[in-house]
Amino acid sequence: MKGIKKCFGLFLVLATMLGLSLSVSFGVNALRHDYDTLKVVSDDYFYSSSSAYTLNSLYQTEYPQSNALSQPIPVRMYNRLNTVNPTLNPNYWNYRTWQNGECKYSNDSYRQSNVRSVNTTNTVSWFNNWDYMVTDYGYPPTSGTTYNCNPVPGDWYSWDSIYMYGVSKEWGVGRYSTLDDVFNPKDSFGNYFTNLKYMYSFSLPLVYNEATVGKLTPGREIQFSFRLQSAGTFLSSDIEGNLSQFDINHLGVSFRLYAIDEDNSQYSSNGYFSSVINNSGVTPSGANWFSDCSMTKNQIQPDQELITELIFNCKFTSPTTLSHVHPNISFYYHDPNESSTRTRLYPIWYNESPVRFGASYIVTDNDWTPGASASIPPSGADLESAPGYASTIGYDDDGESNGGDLYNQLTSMFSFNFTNPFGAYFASFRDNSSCVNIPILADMIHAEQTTYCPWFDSATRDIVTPILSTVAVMLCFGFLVRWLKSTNSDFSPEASKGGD
Amino acid sequence: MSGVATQLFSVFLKIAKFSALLFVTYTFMTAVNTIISFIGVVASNSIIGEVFGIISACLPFNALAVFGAISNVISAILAFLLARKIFNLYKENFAVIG
Repeated sequence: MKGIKKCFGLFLVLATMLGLSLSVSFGVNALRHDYDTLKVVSDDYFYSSSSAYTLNSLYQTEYPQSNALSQPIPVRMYNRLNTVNPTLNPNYWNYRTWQNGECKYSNDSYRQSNVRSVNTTNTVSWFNNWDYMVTDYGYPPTSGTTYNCNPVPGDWYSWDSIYMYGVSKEWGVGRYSTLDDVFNPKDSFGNYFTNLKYMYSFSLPLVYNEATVGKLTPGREIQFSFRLQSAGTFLSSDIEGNLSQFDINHLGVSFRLYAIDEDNSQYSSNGYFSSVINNSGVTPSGANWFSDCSMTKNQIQPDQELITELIFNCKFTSPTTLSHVHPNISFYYHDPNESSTRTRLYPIWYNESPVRFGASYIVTDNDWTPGASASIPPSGADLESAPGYASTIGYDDDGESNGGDLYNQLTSMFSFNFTNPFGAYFASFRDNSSCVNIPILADMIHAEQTTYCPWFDSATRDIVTPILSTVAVMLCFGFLVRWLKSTNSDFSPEASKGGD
Repeated sequence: MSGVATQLFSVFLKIAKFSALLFVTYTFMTAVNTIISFIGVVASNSIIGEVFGIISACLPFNALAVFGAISNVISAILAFLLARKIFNLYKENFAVIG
């Protein structure tokens, strides 16, 4: 009886430990505005048709601008529209919105007072990076589906920086509607993410009328640029001018840009047309809609293979053969060992170093739709020195010191990451069939392939692994219980002869 | 009435004591987890980890995941034992609340 009481007490302690740990970790995550918080916020906004909340109000509440530059901001909150209008405060988000039938630049106060004017028929929408249409109810056009608030030359569309942390990346990407999505996040095509392998994808948030929102009409051209920037841990790279050589782990990486022709429903089958950019420029593959892509890399020292930043400058031209193309940009990790008939695409940046991603593009003359009444900034504006540039794409004005702070935050041994304390156990229920990266060994034996794949099929490993993990965990806890409830005599020879 | 107050105060003390135990446990669990993860980082980002990975690839289960679960449990047990020890010391030295 005494043993039962002890066991029950131990059970209570362990159960409370679990509950407390989980609650603390989730609570801390919420306070830290981490991915979990964003998930709730953005889902509430993205998928509710009559919600009184908007992206702006939520973002303003959760992410004040003063913190936006000093702390990592996860994905999704990228759809700011900034302009090069020098009268606007670059510290605020500046939108061109509808005011008395005219498209004017709005300031923050206007947006705050107007965000709750819900009108489902007059909306401004764009596509988020999971290709779900996002509708902002704050800016009702007064003249139906006219083109008045379209992009004009000099407009900036920008995204916030994306910080990815390897240990909790699985919470950062994907849409969570079921439990399966939580444990097995998928990309926008429904493909499962494997553990610690991720895809970054975003859409150019073009704003046209409601029928073709988020899409580019035929024959138009946009220029855009984006950057991949390493924060904390630098990207160690081995660039030799060859596509298959660019990777932090000596594996092939391709930067794949693709556009989706939604009218023809070429969306999930063979629905992307791509141009692959390699290190030396563009490598046409398929329809060459992306042109004049160039990549600049910033290195710590030219003779070292440590890269801090990759800068891409591209043009995208919508083909005249298709109507309404939705430009989308993705970064895939491409494994050259896979068959070329059905190329398996892996996301890149699966290492645990945080990668900072900033993107922006500027609207060119060819992209302009007549009818906009907004003031047109002078052409040929210097992008780097444009007002709001630093805050727009998340680069620090004072990157020297801020970068140092960020580095310290990310690499300090005392910056605990409050995650699920039993995550290692739950990990055994996830991807158990991925190939192992062996860059060092492959380099030593001069092997071409730098991965080593499991001998057994995924079904076998996916079943056996959690079973063995559970058995091992039960054994460990069983010995603990046995030890705690034992007396000295339990381990003596006499004890094994009889009961309690 | 004073009896009820005393009883309530006693319950409050027990809750506080238990909370302290849980807090210390969680703190140490996090610390032990971090220390063990250092070992994992060293092992997984080196040639040792690659050898382990190849061995794991030859087995019908993901050995790395299984050992990860075991290390997870070990860290939890260590944290619990540490916390219990600390709490016992705490109780002995500050017996007035116990």
